[in-house]
Amino acid sequence: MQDDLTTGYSAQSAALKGTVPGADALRAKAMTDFGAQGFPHAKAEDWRYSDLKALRAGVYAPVDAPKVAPEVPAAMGESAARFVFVNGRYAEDLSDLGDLWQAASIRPIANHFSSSSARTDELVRGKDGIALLNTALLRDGMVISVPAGVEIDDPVEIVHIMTEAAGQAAHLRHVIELGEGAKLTVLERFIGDDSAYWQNIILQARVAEGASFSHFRLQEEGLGAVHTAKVYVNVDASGQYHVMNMTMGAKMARFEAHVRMLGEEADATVDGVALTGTGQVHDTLTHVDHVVPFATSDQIFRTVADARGKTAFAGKVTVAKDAQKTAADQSFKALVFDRTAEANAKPELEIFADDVKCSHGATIGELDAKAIFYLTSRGIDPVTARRMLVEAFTAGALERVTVDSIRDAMMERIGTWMSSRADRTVAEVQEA
Amino acid sequence: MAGTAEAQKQIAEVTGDYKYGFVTDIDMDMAPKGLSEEVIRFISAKKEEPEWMLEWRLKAYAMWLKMEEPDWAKVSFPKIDYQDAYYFAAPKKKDGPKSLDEVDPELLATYEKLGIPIREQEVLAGVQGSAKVAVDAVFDSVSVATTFREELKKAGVIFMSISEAIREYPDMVKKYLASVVPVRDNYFAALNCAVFTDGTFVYVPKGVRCPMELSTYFRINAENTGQFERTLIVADEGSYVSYLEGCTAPMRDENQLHAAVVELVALDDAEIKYSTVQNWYPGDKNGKGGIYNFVTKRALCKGKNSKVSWTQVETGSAVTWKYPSCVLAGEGSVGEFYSVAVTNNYQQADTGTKMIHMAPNTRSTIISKGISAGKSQNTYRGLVKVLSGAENVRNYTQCDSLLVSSECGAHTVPYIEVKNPTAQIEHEATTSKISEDQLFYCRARGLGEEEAVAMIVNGFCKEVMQHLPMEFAVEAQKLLGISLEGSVG
Amino acid sequence: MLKINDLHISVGDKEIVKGLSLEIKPGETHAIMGLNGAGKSTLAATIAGRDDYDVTSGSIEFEGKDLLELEPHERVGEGLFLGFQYPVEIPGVSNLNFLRTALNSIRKYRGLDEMSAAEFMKLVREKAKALNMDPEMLKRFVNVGFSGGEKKRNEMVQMAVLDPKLAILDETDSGLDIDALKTVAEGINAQRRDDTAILLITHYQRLLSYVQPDVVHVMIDGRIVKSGGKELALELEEKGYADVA
Repeated sequence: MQDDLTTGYSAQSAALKGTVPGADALRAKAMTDFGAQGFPHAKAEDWRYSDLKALRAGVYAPVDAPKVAPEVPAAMGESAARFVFVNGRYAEDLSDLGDLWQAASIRPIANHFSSSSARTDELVRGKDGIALLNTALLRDGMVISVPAGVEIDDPVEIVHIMTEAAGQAAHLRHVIELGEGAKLTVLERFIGDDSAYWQNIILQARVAEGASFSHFRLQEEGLGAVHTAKVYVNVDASGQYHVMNMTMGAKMARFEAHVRMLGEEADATVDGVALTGTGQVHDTLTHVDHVVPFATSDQIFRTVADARGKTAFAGKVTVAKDAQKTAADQSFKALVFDRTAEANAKPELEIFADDVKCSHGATIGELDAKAIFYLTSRGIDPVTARRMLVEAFTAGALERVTVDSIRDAMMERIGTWMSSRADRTVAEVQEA
Repeated sequence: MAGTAEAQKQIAEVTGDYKYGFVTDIDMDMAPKGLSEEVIRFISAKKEEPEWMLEWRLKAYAMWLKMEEPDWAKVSFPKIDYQDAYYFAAPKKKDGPKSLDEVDPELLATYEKLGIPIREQEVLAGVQGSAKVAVDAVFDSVSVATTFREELKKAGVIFMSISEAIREYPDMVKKYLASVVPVRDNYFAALNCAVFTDGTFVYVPKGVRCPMELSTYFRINAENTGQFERTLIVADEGSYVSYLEGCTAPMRDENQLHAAVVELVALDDAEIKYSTVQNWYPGDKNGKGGIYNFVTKRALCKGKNSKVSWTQVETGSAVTWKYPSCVLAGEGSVGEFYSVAVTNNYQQADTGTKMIHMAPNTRSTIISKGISAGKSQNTYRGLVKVLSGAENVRNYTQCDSLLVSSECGAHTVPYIEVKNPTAQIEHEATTSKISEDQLFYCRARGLGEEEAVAMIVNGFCKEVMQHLPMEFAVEAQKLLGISLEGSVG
Repeated sequence: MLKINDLHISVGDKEIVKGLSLEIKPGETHAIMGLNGAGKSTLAATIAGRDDYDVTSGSIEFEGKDLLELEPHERVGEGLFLGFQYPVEIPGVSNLNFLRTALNSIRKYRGLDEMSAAEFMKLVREKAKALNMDPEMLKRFVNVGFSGGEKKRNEMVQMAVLDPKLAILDETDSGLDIDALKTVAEGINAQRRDDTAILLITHYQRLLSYVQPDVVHVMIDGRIVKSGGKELALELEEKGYADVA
């Protein structure tokens, strides 16, 4: 099987030759490595809880442009610019550059490698088969460079749409560069139809000294999709990185955040909420790597698993020998609604410095029956009561989203998701 | 904090301080060096085992040959040459000691040095009201002396070496041996099945509360020997037993392998309390020598409302790989794990527990305290698993790590896997440095630096220590102090 | 008993105490008053041996010995006691165990035998009773879950049991209600003898109504700017630091 995959993807990679100047050698190297190691083994420690069967089963074809132009959702509040990708390609006519081009440099990734190919890929560390294919089949993506001292207030929205793409895959790569003291907010959205496609995306970012990068993700892929996303961020001294990833869609979704704290007083907030419905698998892996002293990180993850849903969270914090005075916290909480649902957690600390304060907490359980009863005894119907409790449950992560329009939109989706489960919920409550 | 140079000097002083590092000079019976079918036949013959036991061993050996050494733990050590060790070493016996008087006096002297008052215990046996501990002493490969047998027999409790049990209670051994840890469970367990030489067997009959603490002291004495003991404890319905285990080994430059298997079975309403103070030789300050402690310990809470409680204080061994676990198969059964693991110098410990909740209303508690000093690596690794049919499961886990030096590592790797919505799983973990404020406060009340460290560490471990039987708790507290002496820096 | 001569103390590059001299004789009670940041707590912690502070010049002598040459616990052995502004919590270590270990460490330093358990219990119970401390508190972990007042009372019990020659009490009155303040003051007064001395470090005059000092020093910006009798404390209360100095 691995041979078939290698042959298939090699042909795809070869066909891309010349499309991205300066990237051919990088692609060829990644392809060779993929041939050697393939997709992560089912028993690989980092893949303990999710399933790559769909990827191992056969080659996903390069994605075609759709026959019918898709509908583009309205923007979430004010935005500095809006980039739309349809089936893995930048759709210029659907995008809106706004005023962003006046303050920052924006270019397609195709124009990026010729000058600095090696540098572009070096952030992507510890490559597994998925990351390797992303490089080997790299074709499109956006590069945003914000110069030193420039603050972009409104979010930049990047919308990814997949449609009519059964058996096809898009491999995208975005690059964000923030100069010293720069500020940028990016909202990534993912939507798609029910075809069984694969969205494979990497976002890599450098946050220079004193810069601030806020990164929000709203993943609402179609329910037939495989969504694999990796985020690699390096944070320099006094820099700030905040990511909040909301996972709702896809049949199987994997989100990874690899954050390196490279300067003193760097700060990272790595948060996520996953709403996992019937038959879905939502898997999150975070790795916050404290390389230098005096950096801080904080993680809040909340997952809710409904019938036959499976959620997993593996959060690793490493503190290097010299990274004294590191403060790293992590909190994971999972709600399990049904006995066919499953929640897994592996909060891991690996610490080689002595003067640190690190902690993690994890809880798994169902909604507090006493709380539901209390709310209903005050006249609130059970469906609303459950919704309110789930909203409260996820609030810790959502409250940290500083852009009102984005936070409200995320909160609203939690309400909608809970309501869509209402029928079943009512039956269950009456039964109990 | 005091100068690092001072601390270094103190460390150097301490490392020469392994109190149990003496060698006893007695006549030994040894199997030929290396591992083969012949050696296994030799062991089995030496122990006058029935044919079925030999077959069982050979089957295990065949399985082991096909298995691979595990590599997932956060420990590293040179590859073990399994052919470069003796698998059987026993003090030469004339006809088997009928009483303690017949035991080699050198051997008894050894136990005295270890602080095991076997003789004293027997003398005390007639004294009414005094606390009693029945002791089984395992010296290298064989059990040399078991005390209090007669008195235990009156209560119906069987407490003897496993070799004797194989001969005297074959049906019981056949029924339970490898019923909790299957032969192919892991590499070291399979090896143990093939070559285990002795260990302890305990059976507590229905409704009996074992009248005294049972205790086994293990000691590796001979050079180049592996110790592979096997412990099997069966607590029948409504019974209770508390079992203590202590371990020491002489100082040797070579590493020695200790691959034990401990199996506990608790039937309906039975309770087993299993306490370990592990002080195998940890190697010298440069990490030379020391015991590889690769142990499989598992309890099956088979019966309704049964309970197993593991308490361990781990201060010894060069490399530890050990996860005393509970399979909670009986409805309402309870598993507990209380652990203190101290590592200093170049010691490596990867230890923790697994709580497998298979039945409804099962509960588990995990309290783990890791203390890392010197250049050591200390990892907590644990699994809490709730199967879909297990309703109303409760687990509480707390693992705290304390760092006492700037060159050590403290790691926490818990796995939580839940397939039932009625479970309530709570896990908390912290890692921090020993507090400067606490140290200064103690010193401002007159305590020396080491005394202050020992006091704070003992306080840190309190929740675990209080689960040890009294006699052990005092010993364990002292051990903590000794293990950490000079580690401040 | 205590002789401080031209003491300079720095933390990092910053000088906190800038040339301070002070002498306390047996039987005396001194009070150092000053605003936050004057360097009072730095002085107290330095005398007790906290090594976060650098003594850049000057000397501290205690009964003729160079205190700066001694480890913190050796200073306690010599007869020094520091009452903490923020007593530290030590989970898992009972008050009794803590006190007994401390007392025996001091006795060992002085070449005395350990005190027997019975004798020790008698002593502690007596001192706790005198300070209105619930005996149950002795079994609890050191300061864990204690209120602010209970912590300060615990410091007084420790002082009474360890019976120092010189007690330095750092803001022992802060955060206490009037009843707790009275108890603490009783504890301090009980420790005043011909052969002992007390150094009170405080912000307010409040405590000094209950513990009348022989000498009051005003500390501003790392120096003692004025010394006088107990009436100086009242003057400070009325006029404020700026005017008095």
